[in-house]
Amino acid sequence: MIEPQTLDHPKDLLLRKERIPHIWCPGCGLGSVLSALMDALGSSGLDLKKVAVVSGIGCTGRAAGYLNLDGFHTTHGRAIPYATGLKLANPDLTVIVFSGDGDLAAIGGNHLIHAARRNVDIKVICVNNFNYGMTGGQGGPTTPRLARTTTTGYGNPERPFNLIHLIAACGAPYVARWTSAHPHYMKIAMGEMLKKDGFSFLEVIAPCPTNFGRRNKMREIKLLQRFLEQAVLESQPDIAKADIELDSPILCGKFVDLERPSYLTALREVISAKVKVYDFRGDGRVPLEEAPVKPAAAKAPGKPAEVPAERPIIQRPVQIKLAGLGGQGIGLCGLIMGRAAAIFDHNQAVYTQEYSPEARGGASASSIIIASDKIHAPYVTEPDIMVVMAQGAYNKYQKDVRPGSRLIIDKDLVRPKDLPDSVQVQAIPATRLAEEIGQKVVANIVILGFFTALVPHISLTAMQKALKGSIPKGTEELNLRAFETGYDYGKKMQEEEAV
Amino acid sequence: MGKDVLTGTYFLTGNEACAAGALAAGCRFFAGYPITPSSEIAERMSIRLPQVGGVYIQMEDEIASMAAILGASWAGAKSMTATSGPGISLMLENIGLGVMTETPCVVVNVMRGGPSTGLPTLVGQADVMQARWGSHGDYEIIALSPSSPQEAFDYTIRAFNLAETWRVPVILLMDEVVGHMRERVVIPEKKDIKVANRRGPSEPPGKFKIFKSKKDLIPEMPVAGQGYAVHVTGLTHDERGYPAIEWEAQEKLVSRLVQKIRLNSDKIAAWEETGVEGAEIVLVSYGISTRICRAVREMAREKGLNLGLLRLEVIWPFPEKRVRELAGRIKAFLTVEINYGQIALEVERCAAGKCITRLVGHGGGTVHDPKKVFEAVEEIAS
Ligand code: SF4
Repeated sequence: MIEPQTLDHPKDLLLRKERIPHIWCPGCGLGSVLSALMDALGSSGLDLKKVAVVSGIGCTGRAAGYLNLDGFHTTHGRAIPYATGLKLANPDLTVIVFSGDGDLAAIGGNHLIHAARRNVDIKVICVNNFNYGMTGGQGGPTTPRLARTTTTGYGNPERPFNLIHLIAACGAPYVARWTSAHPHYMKIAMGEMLKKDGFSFLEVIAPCPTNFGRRNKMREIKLLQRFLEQAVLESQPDIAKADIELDSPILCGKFVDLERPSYLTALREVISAKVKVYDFRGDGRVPLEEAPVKPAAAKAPGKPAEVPAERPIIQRPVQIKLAGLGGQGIGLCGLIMGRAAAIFDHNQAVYTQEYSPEARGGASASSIIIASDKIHAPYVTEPDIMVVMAQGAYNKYQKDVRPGSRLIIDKDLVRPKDLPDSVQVQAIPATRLAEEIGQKVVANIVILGFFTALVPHISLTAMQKALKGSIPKGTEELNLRAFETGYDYGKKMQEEEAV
Repeated sequence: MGKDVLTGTYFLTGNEACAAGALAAGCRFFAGYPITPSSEIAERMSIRLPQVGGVYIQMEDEIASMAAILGASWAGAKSMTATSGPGISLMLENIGLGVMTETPCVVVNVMRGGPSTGLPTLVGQADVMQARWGSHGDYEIIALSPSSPQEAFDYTIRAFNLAETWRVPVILLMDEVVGHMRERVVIPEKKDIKVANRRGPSEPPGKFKIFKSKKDLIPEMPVAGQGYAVHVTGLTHDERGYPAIEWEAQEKLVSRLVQKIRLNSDKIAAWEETGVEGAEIVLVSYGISTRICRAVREMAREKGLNLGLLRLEVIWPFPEKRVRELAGRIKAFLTVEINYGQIALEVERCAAGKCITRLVGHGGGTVHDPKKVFEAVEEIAS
């Protein structure tokens, strides 16, 4: 007896044989599309180990599971962003999205247009069978007008997407359409996509006889026949005419094929021109050179911390609130104080900012708590010191000025009223002094100097170091002068008071 | 290429420290969508990742961001996203995909007040239960909660290490206050930072089954491009990764996903106890509320009252055993959290009627007033 012989089919290499038979219905167009992709991959010369296929949910979504490649069957509609992550994290991969029209254009529509816009280098094969096959043939974003589906029983009233037009409008450099009755052209298109650097989109019109065909009087053969008979193949098809009606011609061909730098190419260009390696300072502009690593604070050996001789010892946490108008640099003042206390004085400091829409203008405040011991609750509830730089801010935060506390103000801009008993007011014409130095904008630094002279909780050395590390390069001289001016004014005031 | 660990002492916000921690842990891919109060993490990553050869991408929404970090993880990168409130709600479906496909990644949720748009700029702690079971289906997850910028740095590294070790998305439950407050942050030298990496396949392609686990219930993880022809699906799958739509397959897979966390919860759960021995009343807290509890402990001490504090470093898995044990010995647990009772219910469940359990909670927008918490303590103490 002669044993029946089984021969390996050339495509078996690309198929997970153990997963066959597939779940697709007889007469479904999906097999032809998958077959064309295998042909295209086979003759692409690509290292197939580096090819990944991603799909969403639905009949088409199962394709990723039949190919013997890295395959990702993701959530409904999310194949494109998943593929984006794969490609960007490993640019050596060729990433193909193989999914359906409902998946890609309805729930995933936003991802589709954005991936096309940013031109991320993935290859999208959208199999369009005009309905949701797997879930029983409901209408979708590509269902032709008047077509019947399980959710458009009276005929679809909506206008479908012209996907070709849409994706081209988003700027994709490669856009083509074929039907599953055109295996040869499909293969050519897929081959071109695999070579393309950028977002490429192929719409394949395919029959779903089980659902769409049955309800629209086009069973297996009829649908394919329609595709063959009504397909219009043009060398330079007009995108605007790519709409598909229930009974219209189906315009096929390559609609867009141009060169446009892909996302990764563009990203590399931008980065290589601009990225400098700089040290981390928190907001990134200038290195904070002298910042020591405190050994006690753990596993961090590094430079032993030099605790300044004049490090203030603070028995009880001191609460400071700074208020002003957006743009006055109140936040920066607080930041410098915090850095000075926490990094250079080796005390503890917590800085918070009042976050409200007003932070972008209008009165705003920031707060600092300084202590020698751990600070628990991060919020300033009863300020010991208020620094106020504008009348609007005074009006807003006046309620926080407590009896017995200290109020530091810009004399020219703030007129305190209804002060509680025993508030010690200390005033400086900060804005005027700043103008004399050269620029009104450093009024906040004048106040900072004034504060340093009067308030014992942060050392002068620490404040100077923090100031130097916190201002933009090129403005050091101006800022240091502003600081000194405020500091001297405060010292003189103290001496006069002492007399 | 730039340095990924910028050793030194800084005055940082929790969000900035979180980004620094991610880089130190080896994160090289960030996909996100801006949302207050988490945006500074994305802003920082967008500057820093290109300096260390990583990629930052701003996606069209949070759904896409979550999908992208899963894809990136399967391409071999340590990946992360950060969001808040409505954003985390949108990410949940794909967090489920991450659980089902055992994809290591880190999701930062800088909690704000909710529900819905709620309080975009103000604090909340009401996404605790959502972190655990927000996605559909049955699963276990890991969530951590820092209470200072320093911990935001440390715990972000820890989150990556846990994600890589247990192959599960790890959620960093920060809150707005920790995200925005500035404090001293010490970034150690690179050699002093412990970094865990996923275990790659020990067998060649062909024989290897990508979801076959070893004794510890954690499968080895090949990634795309290595020649393993991985098949990764959110459908219930067998050890080869192929869809298997049967109850037996579901039982085998989902029970392993749950057990790999539950059976190892002793290794994952982490909490800190202060003054618990000998205390009659123990405060339970996490995140920023922990610090309020510390202030309350000091107020109590001044009045001669000994108050314990059990502070959750890792929220999920919950230190169930320890809470049960303590419940038999103390008079009361008082849970302090910025919601109307999420961890409080967990404490109550574990205490199982063996001691008094109370919640001191509110709806968000601010931290607790320590005085109010202390009043609740006094009420129980008397
Ligand atoms: S339902 Fe339609 S799309 Fe799905 S396999 Fe059957 S014929 Fe194909």
